[in-house]
Amino acid sequence: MNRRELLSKWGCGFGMIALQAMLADQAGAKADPLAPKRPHHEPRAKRVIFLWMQGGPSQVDLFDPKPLLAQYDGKDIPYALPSNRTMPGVAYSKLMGPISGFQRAGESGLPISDMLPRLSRHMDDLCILKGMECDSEAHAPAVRQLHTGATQLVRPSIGSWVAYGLGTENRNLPAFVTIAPNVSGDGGSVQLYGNAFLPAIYQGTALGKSGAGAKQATIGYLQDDSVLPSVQRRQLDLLQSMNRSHLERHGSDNRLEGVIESFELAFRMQAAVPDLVDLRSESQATRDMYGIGEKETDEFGRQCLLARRFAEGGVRFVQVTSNGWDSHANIRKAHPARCRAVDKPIAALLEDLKNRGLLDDTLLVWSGEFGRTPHYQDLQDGAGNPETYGRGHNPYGFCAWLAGGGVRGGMSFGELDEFGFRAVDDKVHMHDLHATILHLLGLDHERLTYRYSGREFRLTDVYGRVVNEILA
Amino acid sequence: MKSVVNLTLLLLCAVAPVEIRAADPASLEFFEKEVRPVLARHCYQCHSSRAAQVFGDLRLDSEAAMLQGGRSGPAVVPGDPPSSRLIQAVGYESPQLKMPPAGKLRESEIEALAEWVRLGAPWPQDAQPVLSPSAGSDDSPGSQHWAWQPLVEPDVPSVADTDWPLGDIDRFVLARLEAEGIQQVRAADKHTLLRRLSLDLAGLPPSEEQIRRFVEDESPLALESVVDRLLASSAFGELWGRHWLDLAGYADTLGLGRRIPAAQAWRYRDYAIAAFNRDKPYDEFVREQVAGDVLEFDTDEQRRERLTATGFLAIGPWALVDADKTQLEWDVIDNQLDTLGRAVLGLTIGCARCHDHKFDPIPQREYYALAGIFESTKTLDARMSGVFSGVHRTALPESPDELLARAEALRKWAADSERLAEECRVAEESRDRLAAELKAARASDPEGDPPEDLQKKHAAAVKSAADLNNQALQLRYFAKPEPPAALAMADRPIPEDAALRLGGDPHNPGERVPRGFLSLVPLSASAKIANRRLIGYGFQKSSGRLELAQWLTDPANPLPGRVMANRIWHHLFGAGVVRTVDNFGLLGERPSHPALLDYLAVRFRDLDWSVKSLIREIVLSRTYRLAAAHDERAAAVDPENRLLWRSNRRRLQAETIRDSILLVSGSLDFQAGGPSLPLKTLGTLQMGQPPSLASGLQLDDHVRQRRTVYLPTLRKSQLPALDVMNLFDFPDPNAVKGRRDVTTVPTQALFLMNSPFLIEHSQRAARALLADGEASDAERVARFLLRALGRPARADDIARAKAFLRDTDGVLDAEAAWARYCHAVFASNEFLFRS
Repeated sequence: MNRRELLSKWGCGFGMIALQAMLADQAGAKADPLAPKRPHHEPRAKRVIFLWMQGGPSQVDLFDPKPLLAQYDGKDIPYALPSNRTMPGVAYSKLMGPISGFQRAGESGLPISDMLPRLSRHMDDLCILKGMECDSEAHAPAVRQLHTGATQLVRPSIGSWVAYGLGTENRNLPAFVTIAPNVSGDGGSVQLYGNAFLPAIYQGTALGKSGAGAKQATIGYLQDDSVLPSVQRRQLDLLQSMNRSHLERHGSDNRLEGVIESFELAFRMQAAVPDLVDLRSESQATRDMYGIGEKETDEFGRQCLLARRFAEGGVRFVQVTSNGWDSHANIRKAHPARCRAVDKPIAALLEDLKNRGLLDDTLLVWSGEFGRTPHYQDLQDGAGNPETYGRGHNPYGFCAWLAGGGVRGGMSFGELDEFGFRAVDDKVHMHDLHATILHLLGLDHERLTYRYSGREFRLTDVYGRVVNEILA
Repeated sequence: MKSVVNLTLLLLCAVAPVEIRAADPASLEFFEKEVRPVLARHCYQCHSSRAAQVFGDLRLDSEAAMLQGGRSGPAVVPGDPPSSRLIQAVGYESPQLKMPPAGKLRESEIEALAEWVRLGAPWPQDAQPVLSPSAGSDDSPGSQHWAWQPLVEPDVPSVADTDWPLGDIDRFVLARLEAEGIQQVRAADKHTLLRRLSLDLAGLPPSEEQIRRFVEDESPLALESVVDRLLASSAFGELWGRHWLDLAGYADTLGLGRRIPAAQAWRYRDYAIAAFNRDKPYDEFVREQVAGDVLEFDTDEQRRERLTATGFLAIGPWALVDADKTQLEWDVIDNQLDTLGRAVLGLTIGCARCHDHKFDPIPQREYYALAGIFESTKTLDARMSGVFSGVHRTALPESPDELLARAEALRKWAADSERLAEECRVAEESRDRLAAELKAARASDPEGDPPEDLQKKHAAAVKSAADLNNQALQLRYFAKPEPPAALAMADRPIPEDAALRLGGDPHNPGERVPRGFLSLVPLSASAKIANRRLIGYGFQKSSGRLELAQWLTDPANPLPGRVMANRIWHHLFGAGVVRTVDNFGLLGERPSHPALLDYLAVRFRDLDWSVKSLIREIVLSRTYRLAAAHDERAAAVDPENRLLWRSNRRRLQAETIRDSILLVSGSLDFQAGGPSLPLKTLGTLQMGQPPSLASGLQLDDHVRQRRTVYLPTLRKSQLPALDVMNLFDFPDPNAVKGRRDVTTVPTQALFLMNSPFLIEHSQRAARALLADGEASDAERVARFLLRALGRPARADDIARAKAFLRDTDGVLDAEAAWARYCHAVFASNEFLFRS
């Protein structure tokens, strides 16, 4: 029996009625922690695709051109740098003008870097948050804050909170999926999709990992290629027969039954997921649109297309990661390369979601863990060639953007100072971003709590403000 | 003239706040919640007593300073926001006065400041934090909480069925069952009991020989001899030491966000394992871990042990790269107090960092009284490289043998270094020669490409020189035989009391709090006097950890004994008498059998804090020997089995799953102790950063088949080679976790079905079964089930196996078919659960 036969025999095709019925039976049997839950209020989005730009993209080079910065290129830093923080090479730093040109795009006329020509066609869908702030200038704490709200402590990932709050729309798939996650680079860690103290069922399911490539992105131990599916089914029957006999001998035990069910579900997942992650079933036109097969865009294009497929399949929270934005040096080469890698895939994702009517209830979030300084960083302490300059970490002001479900497109909110260093007006702290994402999903960030260790915990701790100004 | 007006205003208004303060706690709360944090976050860097340089002579951290103002006059005019320079400044009203200079505050923050001035700028009486109402007074509900009442030996209850109990533990349990009218189930059979004991005490299933001997031994002491054998085995400490490591935040890496190898951390792990194997008295165990470096010692061996023991609080999830070193220092202290509180006292002390504990009688002042002890303790060293801090290391005394061995190793290291340096030189010469040739070729023919083989040779030479250079660096930095050292705490030369941190903000210090302990813990009168003396003298010359250790293990302190006895019960029964094993506070669960818990704690103390002796008494009880059978009537009354009418069936913990599979497949390597991070896992060096472990880390051959406790534990990015741990609820090493989660998710099933680990060891098991060519299929099934499940095969087992072999005949060869069979047994509930 080949896999196709197996699929039809066991009803594992994605979205099949038989399967749904089976799952519904399961869900009815006992309180199912992943069953869809009623949100606190009418949601504007049903799911989130979170595009993490690992390392921190430069706000003044991508979305927020500052004329003064260009004018004072090479001049001394005019703003006060925080004194209780240190940054290598800052003693030699001067202001550095934007590394690219900008154009105004769409009816909204919002500025965007020439390095993002395809994304510029979607400016009227984007809501640019220009006054972002977070609490740490080091990768690891800032990355943790972006994903969990907390800089130091071990807290659940935002995806786990969403899965906990809303359950999943498709019991055949995990509620929270992260594609090729960064688990070993700067700040990367399994904690970023960890459930911490929430029940483990809410932890993110990782498809592959960064470095291995999205081509290999799949769920761990999904298949054993050394065995025929028919033989494995026979083996599973043997196992389940042993388990049932064991269960009968000992009377009722929910956990033993739970394990028996988990094996059946795993067996179905192992049939359903490979199809879902097999991008060959997409048309050539779609694959081309995402830049799959082109050297620079293949990796992130695959991630974005997978994200669309999972979102379409009912996964609540999908994360994709673009590594390598941490341009301490050579930003003039590195940032354009990163832009080329993500521009086409992200534009395609927006377009594809829109064409499928999914953009209305899918929220896209694009952000780094922080931004970059308007002054340059010379890692050779004043001896470097200006072409090799980069920019340092900047948690005091940076840009992120939202698009889709429930946010107003074609607007920007918030303001950085005239050099693009600090948020000065309509600031949006990371906690505020989290509160807003939850709000759009129909969840009140102050009511989405979990009792642990004697007290209620929230994604936003004791902070967070819903940025009502950007809601559609 | 102007100053007179100001002064008058000031005099007029300075009175008002006092009244408001007295009359209106709400406005003070408003100050603490909305105003002080804004001042602390945005102003105190330049305008407080803590600022390196006080700008404009203006301080905003006390009422007097604020009213007095700086060079340009008072900062606030109470009741009159528009006239207050503070409000003008934050409003960015004048181009000359914009504060904070880095960027305008949020509108909400400005509004809060203005509102506060409008209210009369109320300021609390100088930062005397209000003691929680429950602290100190004996009639408050907090002080009456059961957990911190003095330990008194409880009366053993009388029971109707006097035949059933073997000892007092059984009487305590039976009395409750009789009161509820619940009949306990039958006793477990011998096979089940032996497997249970082996898994609970050693973390491994019994061997065929051990099963045979126990089943055939009909003497009344058969069980006792099994228990004594297991308690004496080194496997005992490997399991129970690991239980302790779940509380200690132990890992082989430092740094929360990076993978900086903690090259010496394994010594602490081995210390914990040895402590349980040698049955170190628990009070001594606690004292050593809190203050081992300042305890006296008789031998070098003891000195080593005690220094190493302080790894308990020295090794933790530190954000070493944090550029804000004040924040880092206080996060470390907080983690230490939290770990100590939960692990030893069952208290969530960390909750009092920002405010008085909301539920337990732990005032914020007492948090900082304890914090002063750790602020006077060195855990991290100053910057190692760049912005990175390092964990403090203490050299361990070296024995003459070790010294000789190290001298020999040093000789070899020096020779290796020399050889490698020479190889580097040769490789670099060759590289440079080829580069020159390449350059010449390019110069002679600028249009054409240089010969391909020359390019290839050059590329190879470049790579080879780089590789050798990296090897040389590795050798120089990591392979030099160093004297043994431990990650350990040490007292700072000048101990001092800590300043209370308002709102828990490290940058917002309040008044200093004298070092001391928690007042909720009762102490005997004599201990109190001794304690006061200790505090008086000891604190002047030391951090106070020695005194802290003595306070913790004071015989009148009921918490450590209750907490540890409860942990032991938890590991043997699957649920503690108090199920929230790390929280005995008001929000923890109540004990199911309060008298039993006190009985156990008293016994523990009377047994001289011997963990093994207490375990022995418990497992020899009749309660421990009950079957894990189901009973409808009992389940209807007590579905969670809180009253122990049966044994709890439990999923094995991750390490036990892996170790058991290795043992049954005949692959387990019993080699114990030593480093788990071998050299070759280290990544390349980057200047300005501490060494970091390479990604894609593979297990080294020498540890690959060892017990799981000896494999590396990483703070992040667990090893793919150890997915069994990640999937089966191995606890996050960054948190105290006395009770592990037990989850059931389909990714576990996928691992059990498809992982190379299961496949490999099923094949090994099959090969071993087939090695005896004479055996029949039925005999093979019986042999394997005895090994894997600890029981003889039944007819239905044989029939099931035969049917499987028949159905796969022709598709699989014999070895593959048996491997699939063994694989199914490894994945079965009966294997994965302990009954």
